[in-house]
Amino acid sequence: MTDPRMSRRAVLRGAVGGLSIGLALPFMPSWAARLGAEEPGAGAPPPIRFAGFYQANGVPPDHWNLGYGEGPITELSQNLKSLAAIKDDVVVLRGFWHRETRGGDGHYFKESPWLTGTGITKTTGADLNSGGVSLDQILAQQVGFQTRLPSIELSCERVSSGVDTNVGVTRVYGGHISWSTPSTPVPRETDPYQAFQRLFEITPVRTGAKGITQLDEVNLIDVVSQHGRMVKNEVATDDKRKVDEYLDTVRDIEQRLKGEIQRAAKPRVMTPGQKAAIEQLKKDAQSYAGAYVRGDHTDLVTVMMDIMAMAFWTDNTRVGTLMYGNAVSGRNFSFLDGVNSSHHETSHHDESEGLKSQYSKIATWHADRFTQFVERLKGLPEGEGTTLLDHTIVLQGSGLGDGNRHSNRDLPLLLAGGKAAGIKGGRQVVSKGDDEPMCNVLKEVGERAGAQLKDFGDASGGLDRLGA
Amino acid sequence: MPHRLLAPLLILTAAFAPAAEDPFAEHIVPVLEDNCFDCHGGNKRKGGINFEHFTSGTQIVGNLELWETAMRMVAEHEMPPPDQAEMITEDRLAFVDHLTTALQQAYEQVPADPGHVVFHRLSRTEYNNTIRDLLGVDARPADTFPADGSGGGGFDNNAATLFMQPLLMEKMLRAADEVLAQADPKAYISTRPEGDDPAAAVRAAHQSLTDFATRAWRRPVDPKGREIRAMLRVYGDYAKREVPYEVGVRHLCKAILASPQFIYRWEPKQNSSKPYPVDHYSMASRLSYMLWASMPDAELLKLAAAEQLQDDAVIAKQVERMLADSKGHALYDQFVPQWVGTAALRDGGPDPGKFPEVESESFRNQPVVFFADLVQRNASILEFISSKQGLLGMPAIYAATSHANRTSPTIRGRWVAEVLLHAPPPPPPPNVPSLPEKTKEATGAQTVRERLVQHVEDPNCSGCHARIDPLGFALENYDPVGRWRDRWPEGAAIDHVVDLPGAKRIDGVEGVRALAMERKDAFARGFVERLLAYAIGRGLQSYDRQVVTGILQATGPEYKARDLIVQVALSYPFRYKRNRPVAR
Repeated sequence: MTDPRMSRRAVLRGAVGGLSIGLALPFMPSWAARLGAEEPGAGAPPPIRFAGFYQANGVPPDHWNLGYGEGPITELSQNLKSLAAIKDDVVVLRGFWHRETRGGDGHYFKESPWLTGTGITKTTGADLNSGGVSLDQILAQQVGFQTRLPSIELSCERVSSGVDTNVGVTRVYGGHISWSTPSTPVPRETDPYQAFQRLFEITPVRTGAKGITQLDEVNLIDVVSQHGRMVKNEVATDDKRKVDEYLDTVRDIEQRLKGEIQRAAKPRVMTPGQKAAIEQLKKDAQSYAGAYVRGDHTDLVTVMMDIMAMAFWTDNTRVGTLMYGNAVSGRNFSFLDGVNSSHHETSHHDESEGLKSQYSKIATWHADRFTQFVERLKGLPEGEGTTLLDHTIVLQGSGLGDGNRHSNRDLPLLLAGGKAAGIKGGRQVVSKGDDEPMCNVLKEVGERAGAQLKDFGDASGGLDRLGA
Repeated sequence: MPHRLLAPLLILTAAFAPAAEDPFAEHIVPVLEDNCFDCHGGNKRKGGINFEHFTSGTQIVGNLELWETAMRMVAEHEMPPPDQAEMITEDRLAFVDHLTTALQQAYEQVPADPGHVVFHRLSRTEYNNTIRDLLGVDARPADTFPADGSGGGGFDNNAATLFMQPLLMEKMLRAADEVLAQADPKAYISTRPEGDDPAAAVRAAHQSLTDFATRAWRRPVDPKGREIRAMLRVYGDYAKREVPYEVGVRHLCKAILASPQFIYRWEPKQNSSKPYPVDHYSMASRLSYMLWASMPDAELLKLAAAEQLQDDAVIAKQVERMLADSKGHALYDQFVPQWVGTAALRDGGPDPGKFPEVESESFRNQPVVFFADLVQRNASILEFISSKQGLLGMPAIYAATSHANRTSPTIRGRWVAEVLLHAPPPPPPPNVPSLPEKTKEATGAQTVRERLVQHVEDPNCSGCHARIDPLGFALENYDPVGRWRDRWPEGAAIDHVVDLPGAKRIDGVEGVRALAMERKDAFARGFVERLLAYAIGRGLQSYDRQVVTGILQATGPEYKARDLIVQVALSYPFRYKRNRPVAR
């Protein structure tokens, strides 16, 4: 287990080894504050992106799973019918599990570590520890410096407040799958307009008024950072870790400001297609500004996914996660035909037909969203006769297999895209025995997306079967 | 945490039993051997618990929670579970009685410890209110910040679960720009330059920045200190470039609002290996963030400057004054919904499509309004349970303990156990399915009640569900939004007479109310524990137990609301801190 007190910076240093930040050139200068001047795809081949979509509360295995055969997908299950539209691009993964998430409780211990594959510390908050850095954050730390934002974290459900006294665990765990250090969950954006503005409009380099330059903003951050160092000298030892968290953050912002200034000097032009798509997205996102959707959030998911697709397409980031809902999500799905209950409630159907059919419909809805995203990426041209999907590895799944039983085995996992990273779609890949760690999948995906990983969670190796 | 279900009996038996040297070894170990070792002795560790290595009362100190739970479960007939041989009454009474004494002795050995609240970032609410009081701008910029999680005592002001990350920092920088642009410049510029040479501008900026930092950082700032000097170096450059005075100063005020001295509740440490009283400015902030969720006002800062905020009478008077102020509503707004669980109605609970009332603020705010009234009247918090308009009379409570489309006797019963009776059941085993699979075939057309009977029949579940489910069933006459009903949606008549373990019969809401009143001291303890956790921003530890006892004793059996708040503000952890853990 990594020392939870290790600073993000230290984790980053460990992860990238000798790489120095800010030197390597991206395949093209990122589109920043202005719409710049270069054909996307010109120059180096497009980079590989990673998207992780998290669905809470598991699935009904007998409605989700395809059977145990390895190889081409012949018949689709009740939940996965929509995959027919993207069958050749999909790898359905079957039988993998997170060994370290056993025990603890039924949800938080299994859902929060979806992308770390580790055991979490049982706590109401004082010693929060996910046990590891999540795959997306490792990627953000290793490849993220090349883009405007190292990663984006989105969610369609707000963090639930409080301690879950049923199990004595802070709900902070349930609201986060992205961990930049074992003790630092990465906050997610739930307002699409805020997410849009952060990606496409607002830079932290805001010159407050005339006479104040971008460089002054960098100097301002430096002043703030000096204040932080002064405080650090005057707080108790236990507090220094929190001050470090602050100082890490400030340093991060400073780096980004500098990158922004560099990029602004060499702005990039969008294709007319990109411009139009961004403008449409802005309208869509704006319609949600300041609102929180409690009921039918299908359209909200579409906008959130579009934000991720556009962020990838314009190379503003290469790493993203989206949580449809939090662990133990009580999101009400009665907007679906034949459903009148909430997600978690239906997951404990106890084989009662009424509840189980609702649970199944909710699972189908999640699979449909995956298909929708994959189709969206497939519709965005990038490179020579290829699409954004060829350069994006999309992974969707849950940390629970059978939600009714709180099982951490046979986890539902869908993977798509990544042809340019050598991934061969159109088939099911089955675990070796019922003991193969999901971390093998994560390690393989991480490496194909550009990370250097010595080991990952409880991975026993990679999963070269994902390749052709 | 314990409560005294059997308190009257205990007093009787204790009167006849001579005090033993080690009551644990003499009286408790034999009961454990006879009743518990089948599952919790030898190589058996059911639920991860094995009692065999406990041989002396001295071992309790390090395992207070375990023994508190053991005592409660035995006292309430949760253990031994129904599928095991019944513990004879004599054993049960002896166990509870002597364990009470042993726990008491153990708690006396726990050294007084104010605990440590880590460097405390302002929560979203605290940020909004502080900006409002500092700049006179009620823009609520933090509403766009990522939602704060929560931990410790279950509140979103829990210091350990308030993180800093780039997304938040970006938004704070943006918020600082926006609120400064909206504010009257007088709110942050105290001094204007006389004359127009750069040196005059630097002098004026020096004064303005010192004044604003002092207010924003909620404690005196040395005008010659490094913090100010760092900003003046930058301002000197602005002056040379002839950046307008107001523009330059405002930009540095942005730095003041982005500094940790503003974003965090900074309490400078004193060099001491022992606990020490916090400085007076820290006290000013502790009081203001507890009661107003905002920065201290001029009066508090004046008292801090006069070093009067560690004086009991002054603290008590300030609490009264602050509660009377309209800002005092922050305490009710923040504390109550997170305490009773109505905060969850914001995102979950009954489907607003079907039950539109849950969207209404007046519906959700019932517990808040009730508490505000108690504090204003300095009335007993027991009205929460005894009054017809109390928690059991509030539709919001029934909504907060329901699913999207139906009630849940388990959730509701658990709420009663936790909030009213202060006897939360332990967590269910991690990998247990919701209900055992063998019952699959039979579940189709059963009523909720018939289905839940399975909880009680399955030995894995019965320990707790035999106690919590009936409490929920007694309240089944209230639908998901608290409307009275005589029948379940399936049509069957609701039977609200239920039996609790130990042959205790409860009849409907009146029965639950009477049960809660029988154990009113436990309710009060639960309330004070939560209030203290909210006030200090951390979860409670075993060393806080004596503090809670002290607060309860100081207010007496009436438990008047305002008196309790005053006592919390006077308590040891509220006024002290330490750098290192207290030696055991």
